[in-house]
Amino acid sequence: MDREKVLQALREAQAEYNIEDLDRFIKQAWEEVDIIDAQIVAELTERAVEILLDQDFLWAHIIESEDCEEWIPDGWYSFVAVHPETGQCLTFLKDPVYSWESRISFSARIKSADDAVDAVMSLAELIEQNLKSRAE
Amino acid sequence: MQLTHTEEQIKQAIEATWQELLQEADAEDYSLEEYLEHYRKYWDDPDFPNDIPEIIIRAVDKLIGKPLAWYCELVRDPSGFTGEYSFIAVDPQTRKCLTYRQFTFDGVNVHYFLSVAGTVIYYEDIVRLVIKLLDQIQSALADA
Repeated sequence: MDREKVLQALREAQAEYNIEDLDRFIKQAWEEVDIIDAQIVAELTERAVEILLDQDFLWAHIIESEDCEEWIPDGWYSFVAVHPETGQCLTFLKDPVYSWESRISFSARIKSADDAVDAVMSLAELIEQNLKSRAE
Repeated sequence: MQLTHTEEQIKQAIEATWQELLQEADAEDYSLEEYLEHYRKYWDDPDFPNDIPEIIIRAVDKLIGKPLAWYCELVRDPSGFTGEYSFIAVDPQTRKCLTYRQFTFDGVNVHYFLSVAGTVIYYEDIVRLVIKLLDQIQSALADA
């Protein structure tokens, strides 16, 4: 996947959320334990994937945290994407041996704008693979 | 859709799962009710071994008759864990999300749900959540 296109998609998503400095915003989300900003980072990642693939999906995400009590974001996010028409899970990664051990979520560490580019790229590639295998 | 299992069968599946977990952990024999007493006191302690999602997932797998692929979120608000669990189940063969449903209240606006959620505090809450998941998953499997 072309990194420049991923960057462009992220910039478009960033503009939709009125974020001026993406790198600073992402760093702030986990450094300052701001759960609302962490939510926005997750949503922005999802939106960038949609822009990149030119399709809307249904999403669930988890902002991972260091402990249950304080809910301190540790920079890790998990995403589940589902196709709105077919109900197909698009973040599915089949376990080669035990099918029930297959992962249905995609996890990424997003602590900087560079991490966000990597996350959007990998997530979009996984979704594309799932869309392709559905069509086959 | 009508459930294909009685409440008694559902409770048996939960109990069988609990016994399995005790064996796997090589733990002394104590009841799920006793575990839940500790759970109510320590659920937001990061070191407390939270077995609730595992109990629910395995019980549903047993009742459905095949293992599904799962994702579970412990729902939090800024003050911490709320006691609510949100489950997404996928059929690993078809990749279909079995907890996905859409419906409309007014015939115009469509609402989408990816997960089935419920709060667990007491034993009956576990039974209720297993029933809720079974109901949804069986409907989705029947539609496939």
